[in-house]
Amino acid sequence: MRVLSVAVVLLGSAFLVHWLVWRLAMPRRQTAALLAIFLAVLAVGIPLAVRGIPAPELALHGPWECLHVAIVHVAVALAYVVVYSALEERSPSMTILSFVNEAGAAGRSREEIARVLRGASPVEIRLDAAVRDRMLAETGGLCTLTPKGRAWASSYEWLRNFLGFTRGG
Amino acid sequence: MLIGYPMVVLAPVAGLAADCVSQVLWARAARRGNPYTSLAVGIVVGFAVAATVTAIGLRAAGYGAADAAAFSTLNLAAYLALAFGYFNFVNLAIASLRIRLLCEILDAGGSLPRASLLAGYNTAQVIDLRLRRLVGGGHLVDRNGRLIVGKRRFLGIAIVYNILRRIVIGPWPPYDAGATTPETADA
Repeated sequence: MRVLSVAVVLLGSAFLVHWLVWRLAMPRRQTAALLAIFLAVLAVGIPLAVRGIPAPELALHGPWECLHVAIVHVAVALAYVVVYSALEERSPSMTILSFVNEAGAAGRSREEIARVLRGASPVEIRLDAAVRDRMLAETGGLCTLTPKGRAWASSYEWLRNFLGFTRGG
Repeated sequence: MLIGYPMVVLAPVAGLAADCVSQVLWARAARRGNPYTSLAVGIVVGFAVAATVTAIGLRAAGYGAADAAAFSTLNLAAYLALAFGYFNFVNLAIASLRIRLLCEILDAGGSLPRASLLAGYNTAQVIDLRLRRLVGGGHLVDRNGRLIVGKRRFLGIAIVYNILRRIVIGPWPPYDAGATTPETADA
């Protein structure tokens, strides 16, 4: 129960810090800020937990208990970062499902759904996001892969071929 | 020695390794098949490995029921989080529009005019692909030309995300048919 308690306290603290920081001032690089918060809480929390601060009965004993807490903390942190990317920007599929669900039994026509998504211009938005995230550089209407973008594209092209998937999107 | 508590600690990582290996083996064996089948197989195999290693470790360490339940809960959370991360990592290769666009540019030698990207992969195709995927997966059902919600699993995820969004960032701006809507993510 000690290890579970420490893990829950550390994760809860990280989420609280995240929520407070977001309320005060939304960071410009939100994913980086999230990772920094979770790792900082872990880096500070583990030594405190080993010393039994603030609750001696919850002190961690030995490196394996510290590693156990760290594995859980890092796993949940990385999963939350993935979830957060879907909170920043509305996904087309989830937009469709929410939009159709709101209509209940009456449903939606394909044209109504297309009108909602058409305004989002998903291709333009992704190109702009790729430029913002420095995967693409755009000059005079020409989109060029940066080294970061080339690394992503090459890696995923390799993965897709290795797994035998057709090109998605 | 890794018997006992160390096995319990490393069980989620062992589960992730099993998830990755089995997903890769299934995907390569069933080339061009449904990619989500390989991911489902990986998750199930990984869970079985994580649970088995946890159980063996707990038995060897001789923990009582309360501690065993606490460690099992921790490991379940850790494994599911790791498996979720791997699922999303692979899913980018399947469904990510951004990755698709980057690969198109890579194929073209590293540069493409924005206009040809927009012309070659236009919004109508994106919408059509999403609708086909949702209808094909049973998440939407066609009733006399109108689409209604089918399987509620993906909708349930969308609802959870909507709630999380409201807590962490704030509510989504309303979508207005024909107006510019919020940015969309890859899914």
